Amino acid sequence: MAEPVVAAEGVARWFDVKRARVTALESVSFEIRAGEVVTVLGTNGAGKTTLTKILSTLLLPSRGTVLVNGHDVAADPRGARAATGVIFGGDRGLYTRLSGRDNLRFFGMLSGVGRRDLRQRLPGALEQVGLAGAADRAVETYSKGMRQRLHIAIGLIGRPRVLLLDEPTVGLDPVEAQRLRAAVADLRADGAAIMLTSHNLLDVERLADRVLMLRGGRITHDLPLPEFVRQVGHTATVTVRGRGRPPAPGALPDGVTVSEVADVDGGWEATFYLRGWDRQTFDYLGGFMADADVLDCAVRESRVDDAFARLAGAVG
Amino acid sequence: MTTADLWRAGESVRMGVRLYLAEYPPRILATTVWPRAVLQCLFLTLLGRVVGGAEGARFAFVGAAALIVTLRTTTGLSDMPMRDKLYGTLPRVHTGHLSPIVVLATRTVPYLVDALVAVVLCLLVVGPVTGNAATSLALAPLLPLYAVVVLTSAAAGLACAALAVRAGVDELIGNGLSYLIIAVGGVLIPPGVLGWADALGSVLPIRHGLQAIRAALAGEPWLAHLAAELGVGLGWALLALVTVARQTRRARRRGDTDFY
Amino acid sequence: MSAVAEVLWTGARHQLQTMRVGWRVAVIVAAIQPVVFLLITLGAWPDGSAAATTRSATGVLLTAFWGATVWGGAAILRRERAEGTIGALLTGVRDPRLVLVGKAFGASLGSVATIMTTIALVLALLGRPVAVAEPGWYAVGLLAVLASGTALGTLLSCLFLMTRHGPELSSALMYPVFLLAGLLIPVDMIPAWLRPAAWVVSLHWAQRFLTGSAQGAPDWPALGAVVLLTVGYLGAGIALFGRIGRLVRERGTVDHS
Ligand SMILES: Nc1ncnc2c1ncn2[C@@H]1O[C@H](COP(=O)(O)OP(=O)(O)OP(=O)(O)O)[C@@H](O)[C@H]1O
Ligand SMILES: [Mg+2]
Repeated sequence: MAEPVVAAEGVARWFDVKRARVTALESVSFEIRAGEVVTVLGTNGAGKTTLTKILSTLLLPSRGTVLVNGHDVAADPRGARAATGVIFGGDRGLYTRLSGRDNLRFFGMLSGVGRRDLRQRLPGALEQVGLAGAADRAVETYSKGMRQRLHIAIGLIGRPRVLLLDEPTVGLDPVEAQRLRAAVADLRADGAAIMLTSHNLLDVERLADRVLMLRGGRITHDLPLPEFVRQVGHTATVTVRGRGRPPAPGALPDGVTVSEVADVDGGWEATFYLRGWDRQTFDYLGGFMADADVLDCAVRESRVDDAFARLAGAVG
Repeated sequence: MTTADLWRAGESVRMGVRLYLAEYPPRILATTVWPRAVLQCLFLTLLGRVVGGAEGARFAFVGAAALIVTLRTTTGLSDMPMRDKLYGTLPRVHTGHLSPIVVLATRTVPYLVDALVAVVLCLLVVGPVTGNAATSLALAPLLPLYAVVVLTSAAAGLACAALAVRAGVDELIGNGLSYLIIAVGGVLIPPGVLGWADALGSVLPIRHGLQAIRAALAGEPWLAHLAAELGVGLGWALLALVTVARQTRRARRRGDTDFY
Repeated sequence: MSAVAEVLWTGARHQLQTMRVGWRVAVIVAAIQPVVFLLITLGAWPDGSAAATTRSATGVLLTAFWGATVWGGAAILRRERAEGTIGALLTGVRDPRLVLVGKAFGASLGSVATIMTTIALVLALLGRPVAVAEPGWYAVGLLAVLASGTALGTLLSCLFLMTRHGPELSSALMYPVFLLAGLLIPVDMIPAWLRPAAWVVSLHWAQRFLTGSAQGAPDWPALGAVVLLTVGYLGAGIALFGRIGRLVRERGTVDHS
């Protein structure tokens, strides 16, 4: 396996606010390798933004170390910055009275791109995010999605080895969000190490190689995506609807649970959770449906949001 | 300093000019900003005549021509460091390849140029209108001294603005400093009338520079005054430097940079 | 009638509270400016007569009051817009015109009080006596100034709402009046063809009436002019405000910029 490009070890961060101490991160350790997308999940206030800030050298860790491309973010911020691109979510962080081109040019300079490179990359970078036509308009006339795309261009113009995205799809319509995901996927293909926080679970499903679950300032899960989904305890949900009197579920085989058999106008509905597909399960469902007056049957794969809701909501 | 650093600083100046023109489009400069400077100079010169006759008017004119630079420096710069906080661009400025103090310093360039333009306009308009045309002519070769005053007051303005950012009192500090300079800067009231005013004025920008200008007008030696003005300006510049550096470090330690 | 007074007073009190919170520019203009102008005008005559001191103090009072009106009263609606509360003001149950006038009155009251206190303090510190021959009429003159400031605040407030360069306009409007209204600079120092400009400025007439009262010879036509101009400003302001209210409902926006 490739060397990790980002390595966090025992990172903690607390804030002293009016004598009270708020702990955002307790102790966080993880690695991101080249060509890998790690998504960080967590409820509001779980510490995702704090983690992004620390990785981008905006905030010093209270304890622990982070190496970005071999540079310590606390001791050698310049070295770390040279390898890092950051994409902020939301529509702030731009000089709104100036044009998109002016913004990109200035922030490109700030992110360390040289004179000649900058001149060469500017048109292509604007083109890539679909802003070539609007490049010379003031950003205050941009829509939310256009501003977000400008942030993306800014984050990418330095061709970073490490890309940090904090809720990059906030406020984007599905088409824009998909475009952003394509851009991130391209960068991964080029070998960047990418960390992405999001509340949009579609981002996670489409992009993530690994999922980090943050809870109370700790990483509760650090798993490959399929494994994370499996952790929810079932891989599929089967919903059966029928007419007449609801049949009794009877004796359930191993790996099948039934949530409820509910009355719905004039009929009933039963939901089964399956840990996997095996002979026993098929036989059971077949028997159940043979005894009943079935109208329809729907099968749904378990998804990230099931996992997220379950893990985030779980106690302990 | 490498050529790459120079290029970066140049890009930052360019950005400063863009931001300045977005804030003050030429139309606004021509219809409100510059007329205001000229009218203020005119008002103070006439006030000088009211209290001190023709000699008073001349004294006030020389002072007012220097004082109006504060419109673009101590007052004008007061909200400049605040700008990045408002836009939410501070995180990028703080993590950029150009030190935040260089970004700030280069952004003052259009303000400095504009301040000097205002001085020239005052010499062109107010001098002739108030019967001080000869003084205007005599002051023309002393424009470099006015330029020094522009620089030193900009340093003070930047330092105060940087100090005011956290508390959000930029408007108060900027305007307060400007009025303080009117009151004790030897602009309209000759030095030596009020002891405490002299003491306070001697650490403020403009006062010594103005003494240098007046001395040069009178054909007296003025280098010592100039040196004093430069010293005061350097002091304020150092204060600005230390303040911004401290704030940058503190933002990283405390996480109170507005993120997004 | 008492309901009208109540709305006016509520508006005034609210404005005074706002000024206490957002005191920055108010403090500068209402306190620092008169100090500076007093030092300049009095510093020149370390042993001027009480009459001269009174004249200067009156001029400084009116000059600073104009500055405060341009920065404070005139910005009332702009602030309301910036804070997003103007919609509530325009669509409230209470007559918005009364609320606006009340607010302008509060702003004027606050600045007159601050400026007069400042002037009194500076004069006391410098040990300079003043002499007012007709204190009663001088007080009447001050009330007229207060009313005039209220009317001007209402009018300018509406005018400034129509542009996004309000602050620049404020600072550009300040000096023409300083220069031409004869407050600190006697009108006879101004070219004859420019003098009529002062006639439309109520503070110019107020200055005449106040200094006249101080010298024992109140200038009645001047007081009449103050009253007439004040009524004119107020009428124009209220008409303009009504127009803004209609525009808001037609366009669905308060941003005329
Ligand atoms: N500068 C600060 N001062 C004090 N507390 C802070 C500061 N920054 C963050 N916190 C606290 O740290 C915790 C984590 O905040 P953080 O912004 O990292 O959460 P998040 O996971 O990004 O949440 P969200 O999903 O809402 O964006 C919160 O309790 C927050 O209040
Ligand atoms: Mg966050």
